[in-house]
Amino acid sequence: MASVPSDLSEAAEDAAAQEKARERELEKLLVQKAIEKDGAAFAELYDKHVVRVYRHIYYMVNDTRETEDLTAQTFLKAWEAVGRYKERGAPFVAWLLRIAHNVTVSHLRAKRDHGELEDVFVDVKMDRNPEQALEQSTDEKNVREAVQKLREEQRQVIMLRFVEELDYREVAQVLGKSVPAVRVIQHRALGNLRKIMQG
Amino acid sequence: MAKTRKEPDSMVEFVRHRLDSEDLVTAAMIQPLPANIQPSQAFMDKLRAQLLDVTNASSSQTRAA
Repeated sequence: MASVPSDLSEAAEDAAAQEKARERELEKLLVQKAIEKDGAAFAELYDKHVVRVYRHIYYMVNDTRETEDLTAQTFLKAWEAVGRYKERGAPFVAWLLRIAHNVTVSHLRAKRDHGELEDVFVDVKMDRNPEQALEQSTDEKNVREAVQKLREEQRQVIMLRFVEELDYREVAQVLGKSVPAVRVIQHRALGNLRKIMQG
Repeated sequence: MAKTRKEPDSMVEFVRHRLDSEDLVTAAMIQPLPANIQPSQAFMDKLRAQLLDVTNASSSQTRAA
């Protein structure tokens, strides 16, 4: 009897692993079709990843209209570039996130150069009690501001590791670096974040 | 003697551990966005239609070429 729950959980794990493998195969197929310029396949990839791309950009700009513009730019650029996409073991979404990141960084640089960059980190969480929301939003705001102040490479590692929750191997593949190099960048970035937040 | 040899090792371990712990604490402060930050359905539908226009146009061009 005691082995029943264990058997059940193993069966559930097997089923989940099989489902993941099936999803990976399906995505590979869609990516291959998109590379061959199949618009419907690209639209399916869009359906699958648009929310994640949108949220990645929102983290950096904190403005709905700008996020929508940059999300559109990201997918249009991805369609232009998908013919050159090479599968290197990282999930397809990691490639999309790299495009999103580059598009957003260019946008923020242009804004900064034109003196338009304001304090954009306003509270957007209306579903908490006001005191809690204020305290938490201040912390989140400070962290997000600090992340934006990191050097480009460090910011990208921090966002991919802790906002997108990719593992070291995936981040290394996205950035074309070794896993130890990503670990070093992450360590330096976290140290710099501490310094920035301590003022 | 054994004590003087051990202290530097312990200090290295202490500093290494402390740095790791600090990194963990800092990393824990970096939160993903709240779940309620989502694109609107209207925006997603509009962009999907725009992408299909673009992909159809470029597929037609490829066929014509």
